[in-house]
Amino acid sequence: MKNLKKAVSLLMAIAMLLSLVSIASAETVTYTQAPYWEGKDLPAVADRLPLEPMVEDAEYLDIGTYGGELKRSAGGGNWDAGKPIEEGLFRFTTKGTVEPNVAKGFKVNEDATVYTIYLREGMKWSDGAPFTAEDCVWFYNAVCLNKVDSKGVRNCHKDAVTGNPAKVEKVDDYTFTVTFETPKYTFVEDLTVDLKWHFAPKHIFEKMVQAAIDGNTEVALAEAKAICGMEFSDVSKAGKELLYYFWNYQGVPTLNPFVLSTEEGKNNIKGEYYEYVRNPYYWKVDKAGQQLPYMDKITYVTVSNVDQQLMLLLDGTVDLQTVALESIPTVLESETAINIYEWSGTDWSDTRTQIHFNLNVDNANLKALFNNKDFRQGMSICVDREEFAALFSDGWQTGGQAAPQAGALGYSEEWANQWTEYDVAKAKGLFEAAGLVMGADGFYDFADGTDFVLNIVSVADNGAADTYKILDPYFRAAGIKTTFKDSDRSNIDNDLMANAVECMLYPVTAIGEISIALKPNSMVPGRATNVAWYGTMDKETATGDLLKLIELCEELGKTADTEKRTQLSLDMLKLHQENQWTIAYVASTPLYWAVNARIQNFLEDGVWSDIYRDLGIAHCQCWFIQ
Amino acid sequence: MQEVLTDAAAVSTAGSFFQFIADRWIGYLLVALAVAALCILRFKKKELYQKLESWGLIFITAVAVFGGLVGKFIWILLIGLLVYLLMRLKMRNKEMYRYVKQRLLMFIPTVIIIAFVIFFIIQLPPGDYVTSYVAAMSAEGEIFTPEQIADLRLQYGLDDPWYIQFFNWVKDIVLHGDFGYSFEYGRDVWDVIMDRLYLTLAISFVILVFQYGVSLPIGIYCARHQYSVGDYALSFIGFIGTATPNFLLAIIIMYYLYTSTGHVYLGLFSTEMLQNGMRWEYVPEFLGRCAIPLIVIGTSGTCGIIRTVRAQMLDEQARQYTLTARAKGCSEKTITYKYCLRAAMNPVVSGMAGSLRTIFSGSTVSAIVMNLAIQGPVLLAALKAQDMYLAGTTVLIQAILVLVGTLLSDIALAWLDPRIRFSERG
Amino acid sequence: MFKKKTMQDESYYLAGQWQLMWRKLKKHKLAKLSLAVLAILYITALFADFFAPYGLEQFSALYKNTAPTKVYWQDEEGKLSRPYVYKLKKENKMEKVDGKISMQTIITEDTSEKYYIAFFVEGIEYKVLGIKSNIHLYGLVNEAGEVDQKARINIFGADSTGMDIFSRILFGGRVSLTIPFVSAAISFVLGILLGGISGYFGGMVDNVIQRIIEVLSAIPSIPLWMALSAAIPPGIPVASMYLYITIILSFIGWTGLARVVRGKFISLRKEDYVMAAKLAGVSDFKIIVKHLVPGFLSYLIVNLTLGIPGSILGETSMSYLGLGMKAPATSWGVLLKETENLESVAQCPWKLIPLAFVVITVLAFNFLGDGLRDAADPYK
Repeated sequence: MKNLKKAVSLLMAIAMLLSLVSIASAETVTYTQAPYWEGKDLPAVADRLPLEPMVEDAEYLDIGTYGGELKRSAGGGNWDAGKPIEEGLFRFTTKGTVEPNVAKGFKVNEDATVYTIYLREGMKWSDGAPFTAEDCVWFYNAVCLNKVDSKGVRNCHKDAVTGNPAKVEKVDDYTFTVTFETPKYTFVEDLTVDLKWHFAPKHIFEKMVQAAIDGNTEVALAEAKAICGMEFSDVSKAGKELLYYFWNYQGVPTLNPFVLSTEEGKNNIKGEYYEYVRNPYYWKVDKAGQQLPYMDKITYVTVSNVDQQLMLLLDGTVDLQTVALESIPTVLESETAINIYEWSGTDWSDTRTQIHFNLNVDNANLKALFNNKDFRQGMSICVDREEFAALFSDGWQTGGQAAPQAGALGYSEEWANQWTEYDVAKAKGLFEAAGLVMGADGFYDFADGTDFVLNIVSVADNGAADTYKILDPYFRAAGIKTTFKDSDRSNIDNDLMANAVECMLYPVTAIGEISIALKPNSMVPGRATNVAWYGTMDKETATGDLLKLIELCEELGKTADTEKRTQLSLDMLKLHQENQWTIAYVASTPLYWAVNARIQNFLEDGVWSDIYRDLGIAHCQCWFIQ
Repeated sequence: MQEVLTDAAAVSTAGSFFQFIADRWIGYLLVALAVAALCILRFKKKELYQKLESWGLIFITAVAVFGGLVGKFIWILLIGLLVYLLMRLKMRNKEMYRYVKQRLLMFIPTVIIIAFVIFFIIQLPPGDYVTSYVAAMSAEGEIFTPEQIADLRLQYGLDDPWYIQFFNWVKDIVLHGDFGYSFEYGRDVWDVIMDRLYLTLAISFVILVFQYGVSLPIGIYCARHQYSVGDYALSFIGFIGTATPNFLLAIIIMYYLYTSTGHVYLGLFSTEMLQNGMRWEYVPEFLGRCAIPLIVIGTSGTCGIIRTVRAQMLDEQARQYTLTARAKGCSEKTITYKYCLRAAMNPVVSGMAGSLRTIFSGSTVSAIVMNLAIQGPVLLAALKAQDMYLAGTTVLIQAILVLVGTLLSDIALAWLDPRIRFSERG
Repeated sequence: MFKKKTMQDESYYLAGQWQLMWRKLKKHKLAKLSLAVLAILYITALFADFFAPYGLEQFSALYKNTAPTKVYWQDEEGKLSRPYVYKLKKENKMEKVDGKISMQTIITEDTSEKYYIAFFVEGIEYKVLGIKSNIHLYGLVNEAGEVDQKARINIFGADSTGMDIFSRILFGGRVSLTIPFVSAAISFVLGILLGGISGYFGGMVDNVIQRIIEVLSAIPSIPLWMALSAAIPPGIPVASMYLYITIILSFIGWTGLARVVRGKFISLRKEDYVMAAKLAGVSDFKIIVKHLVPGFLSYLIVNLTLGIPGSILGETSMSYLGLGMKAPATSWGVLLKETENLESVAQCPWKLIPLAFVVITVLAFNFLGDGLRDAADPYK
């Protein structure tokens, strides 16, 4: 069985290589460029492209025309601008498989210890400097191993058994190898999830990185300033910003279709307006041999809230925006022609209705209660989901539970409907089974007579106050006294670190991904410091199923075999199903994109997922303006 | 010289104080020297001093202008002007001079106390920038060990008790002109503030002028035509303006404009303006865009001033002296503008600094709703992220402006009402 | 003129200052009207449970964001009828054509059954001033005369949870008509007291108070709010939390008034009548309260009447920072805060009705203040 898996992955790799070779050997195509570049002092387009440019040939894509710009609004977030244009060595397809991207292909030896990665000959950085294996190897050996980008060696490069970092060596200008001590079957997927890119422009950063490694602060900072024109206070910040958030800084060459403008007034992502301009050396073409991207620019205007994004979408100042279900009628009524597309998401439920308890809370009474399954079940079934969902979403959404969505790993109808019945009497019985005693005031107390009040907190401005307003009467009807406070992110963060949060009505961002096997640590204690889920729990403090969960996750990290991995993932999910540590009341909704009708080639049925790079899966380099 | 002038942070982080003075604080030094020379002259050689005084002042002003233009420290210019004005005042009006001098001397300790209080308030919420930073990074999947967190604190200087941090902050401001470092922006606080300072000042000033420009005449009109239709109508409109939250008024205006023109007027600059820079053809639209915040933020304060002026005028009109003046045959105009208004201005003028403060606070929420690139939203974000030096400096600047406003309104009061400056002697 | 007064009974000359004021106030029509309006507002707020047809937690998915209920006076044949309304019917439609989504919510009236408006109907239970009851001023009954909570009459429309905005306005008045008053009153007393002391005594006391005022008034409110917000532990009931914050803030809000009072006192204290009072051995406190304060009563009244809308609105701003009132507790500030997005203004303009109540209250206070001022003016 195991050998079969290996053979399959080997075959796949070879097939990938072969398909690339076949494209290259087809009759010579003449490449064309955007009118934008005409008259500019640049080499001919054929010289700017690699010898074998990557062809964007997905079936749904029409051959486009050049020009125009994609107008977007931004809240000042950097991933929002980064993910759509990100180019990694490999990338995910909508089907969840990995395909070569910057890399031309890869080969893996029989016991999956040596990966040979092939690059495209003649490929160039956006400043015209050649992109070679040296950039990849140097990035790993200088930047990652020395943690100059603050992230260090990612999990994908760590040996499955020993945890030692892999060896990355250059073979020739367009080939490099990654060598592990023991078999690492999942390297390519892990790479695409964890690291994405595997390179940085050595010709730009060599001096800065060397100075950072040598501890030569002044030189490193001066270099950083020379690169992007910004002052940094310390080297680690400079390294992180320029090597990890590289697309945010002018003057840093990338392989992306669009690069941050270098013009004053358009080059500051903290400013009111900034733009990403087409990369003259972009290495992808369409089926007709036109160099991508079609559009000249992506422009961003900074806004302060969702309402403004919506307004700008309505008057056509912005082309593209995710919209809430409630806002769709307003969008459709506007005079601007706007299409709404539905993407599926990976959330386990509507994130605005997720409630979770600090399982490691200091108060012994609360801790015992929160860790009691009966209590959680009671909290879940004391709410009339049908009524709640109708009120919550104006009848568009249905009740549900925090569980994997249909089609995702671990989905079962049973789980999706677990504890979703509405039964106050049973809930009360469960509370009593969990050790609560009905007090004289009609609310439950602890067995020792102390008052039980569930203090729920959330982050201000995420709508939790409205959710709580509807939930509270249900809780009270079941005899649970609650309070609610929403405050600023920083206050909540501080409380979380101090383990002072009891219960949160807040999206558990960590749960819900394409597949748990790809990002297992998002499901376990110890990682999620930004939610109260497990509080400050780690392997030492965890007990019972939580400890089991941590152990399974650790085992998963050491397991190479795909089938075994799936089994372990399912076991982890099983624990989640049994315990339902996070309760949700409303089933998740798809994600709705409002897209100005002038944008063509938009991906109609995508999947919104971090590992798919959110909007990145829609490949904006292929969009064009009608 | 050129090299040195470009950047404060590099020098101040290098920490070479003497280097710093030698290079860029020539302006300050010259001012100090000139003042010292003048002081010596003042006591040793009085005649020469009096001759030199006006020349000396011109010299100081020139030096200050030079210092102000060359460095980024515009206040050198202001100090020079102030000294000049004071000297002039001393020659003309001893009484006022004494009053103003006394107030000015109190200014610096007050600023220090305010800075202290501000810093105290800002660090009051639990946690610090490292907390928010670590939490934000954990959300991205990074895991921090307690040692790393402690390292970060050390690196940002956040491991000291807050009063030590305050002391260091003030020390750097006074010695190096360094207002600290914005963690969030990764830049010098002063640079971050300068991005928006002029626009903020311009908007606040225009709003202040608008408020008083509109409400003074209306207030006078209402008082002279008490209980007329005009009085009621204007009061009514004024109260609607006051009773409507700024953000709501902004949304209503924006929505109305959107339905009538099909465009959304968010912010002071349209996308075209931001893309192409300012051009003459954009000026009308720009002015139109400016009118929205002016109305939204301005109207919230006008009613207060209208009602105050009206009430004061009514009080004064009923006074005996008005009766006397009228009996003596003074024209109504003279009575209103020369006697009543002057007396009625007292609360209006003392409220001016308060208005400025209200504009600063009131504009924050409006600026978020209208997407104005002014200081308010940056301040709010800085407070939320516990970016304390940025927040502290912004608040300090606002506070100093309010303080200056208070000072000016007090001086104006003393000028309006001589009883006040006599009273200062206790 | 003279004659008229002699015609009145002797009591006019014997009446004290306050009696005189009351007499004059009674003549001021607008002030009387304002007084009546305020009385109605306060009474309805106090007995909101009775006057409001629905409670604060009677959500309704069906009536979410619906316009004011249409009341019919005529039956199908056009004859005058007992006023009635129809229940609503809601239909959600969502389609996906060519990958593009279209959706629509159709709200129609369900004309199959009429619901008549009735008075003194039974509704949810409440307790006010120790009286337990479930009778509400008005409500709906069906043709059989039974109460059906599924059908609603929302005379001012419904909010995003389907709650009756009218009911919420009445309940909101409880907070908005009282707490801002407390805060305005504290600021007012402190302002007069400290400003008075500062201006009356002058010298060192004046100097110290002035510096305190400068420091306090120079600190922008937002950082202060944030600090307070962080300082309050979870678990404190919203209304009392809001009360505490208002009180804390009113200890800072007196500075503006104090400055004005001080300025006025400085100008007035050298007046001959003050000197005379001093020579006559009147205590300082009495001079301040009896002789100086009435000298600029108009300003004080204006300040007080303007302080109340200031407080009501201050709450909406505070809501932005998670400091103000929060549902299920309600106030006018909360109601206004809920209109903060474009969709409310565009799709549900009736959500702006609470604004009218704020304006009316402010105007009423102000006109009452006008009347009081005139009444207090000995020259009129």
